[in-house]
Amino acid sequence: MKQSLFRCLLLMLIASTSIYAQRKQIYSKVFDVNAQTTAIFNLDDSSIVIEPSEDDKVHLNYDIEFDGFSKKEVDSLIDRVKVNATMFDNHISLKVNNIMKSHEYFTYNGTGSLFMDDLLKPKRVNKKDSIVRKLKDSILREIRVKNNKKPLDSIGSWFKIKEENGKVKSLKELGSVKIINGRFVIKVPSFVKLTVNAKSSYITFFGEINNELSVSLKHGKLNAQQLTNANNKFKIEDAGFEVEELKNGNYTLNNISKGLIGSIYNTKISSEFSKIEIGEIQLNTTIIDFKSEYWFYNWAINFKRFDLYSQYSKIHYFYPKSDYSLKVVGNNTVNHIGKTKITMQPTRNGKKFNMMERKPRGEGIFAGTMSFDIVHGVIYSHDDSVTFINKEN
Amino acid sequence: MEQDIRKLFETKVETVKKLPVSHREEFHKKLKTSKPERKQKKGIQSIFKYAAAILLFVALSYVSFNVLKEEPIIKESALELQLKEVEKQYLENIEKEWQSFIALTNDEKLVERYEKELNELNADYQIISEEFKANNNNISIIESIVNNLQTRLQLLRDIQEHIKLLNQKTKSYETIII
Repeated sequence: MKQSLFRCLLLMLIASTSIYAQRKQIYSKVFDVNAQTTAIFNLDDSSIVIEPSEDDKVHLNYDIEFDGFSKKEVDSLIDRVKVNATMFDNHISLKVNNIMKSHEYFTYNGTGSLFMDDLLKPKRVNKKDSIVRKLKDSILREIRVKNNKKPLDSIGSWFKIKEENGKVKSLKELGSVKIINGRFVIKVPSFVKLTVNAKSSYITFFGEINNELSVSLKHGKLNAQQLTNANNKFKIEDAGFEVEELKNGNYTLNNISKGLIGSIYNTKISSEFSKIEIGEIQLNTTIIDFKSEYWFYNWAINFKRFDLYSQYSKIHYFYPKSDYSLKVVGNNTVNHIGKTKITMQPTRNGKKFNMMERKPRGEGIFAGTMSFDIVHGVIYSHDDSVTFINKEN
Repeated sequence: MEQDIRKLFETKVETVKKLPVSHREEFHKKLKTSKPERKQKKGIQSIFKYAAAILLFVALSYVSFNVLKEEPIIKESALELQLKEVEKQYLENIEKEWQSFIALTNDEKLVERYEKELNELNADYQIISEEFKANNNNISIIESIVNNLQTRLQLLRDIQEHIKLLNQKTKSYETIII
């Protein structure tokens, strides 16, 4: 009897100290602000969500979700979190330290051995035959689905577990992964000018953000619903970039592996070494690029003017459904028009020339002018009839 | 004043010094008093000997303790060994693709641009590798290392595919009207 009671107590003790999954509030603070208030957030390995404030206050709330840790471990980790938010001379400064050198921390604690599979295979390259016009809504859906992923979904599928009996399973199938998922939610009134300097961080702008923003992010991901201020300046490097509505501002995008933009309006993008899909091009957009791959799927009924200046870029564009004009100047570029491939040979002195032209048909609404200045480029265009003027004729 | 030197020796009376009776006792006494000094000298020497032995023992213990302490760091998990192998193969492929890229193009500006980008990615890789040494159980860090290597390799493969497309000889046209 005494033995069974002891066993029961021991079991209860083990159960209370082993798996402990819960969300803990780490920090909460409110600042009164006015139109002259500025704020700077310095983030390293953090995850923040910035959304409009419903009052004239800045609200800071920091939660961390722990999964698979013992209560003792959770308490010890919480002790190590340091949040420093101060307001001095109408300027808010926020600094958050990271507890595990990663805002999303995963570690395998099962009995099998963790290994990586298929890692030496190159990434799958898009074949031109598989490219189809995507609707703006499908780009938006893609962004939203990606944004609603569970923590383990972001782990590479190449992490596998070899169990003791030799069976191989995906790490995602197992529950033996410890997870820390920190989330800092900051509510900011639209009149506060905001600077974010972030490294290896996930930044989410939720809702319509009218604030003047200066954002610098290296590694991690930027996700936004609506960014609208004309003075916005973003510099994103080696990171994810997903924005549903990009309106006004200047964006420098370097090495964006899979950029998704629902729609773009009156915006200037300077990019290099990136892959970016745009659902709909709206009013007056300019892109200056070096060695990126772009997909322009749809055009607004009044996009007025679109300028592209590029070198070594690969461009996939679908024609606007309304009337439009197109002029492609440049040098040494390959055009894939439908199933026809045309090479515009380089000129001796590298001088640009008029490579391709489409004049407005004068039927229906005139949507705008597309102007491409492209050197050493590859263009894939779709859906129109063509006439070739041969050099030799 | 002149003298005969031989006579001088004849007249000289030899003075014989006699030892005191107690000279033996006095000698023993002096010998006894010198003994403690000799004992003290021996004591200092042995202290030095002991100190040297202790020092040697402490030094040996410190070295052996450190060797034992370092052992778990040297011992790598199967995942770490696999990552090392993956890194090695990727870096070899990156170098191979780089050589093939610079042989394919004569555009110096393009090569410079790629060199700069790849150097930046390599600098990031060094930082992430240091983070991994400090936290070798973090799956996110392993993923960052692999992504960095894959990105570099893919950049080099993409540009070569692009250059090959540009270099293909097909009919050239002045202007296309659509």
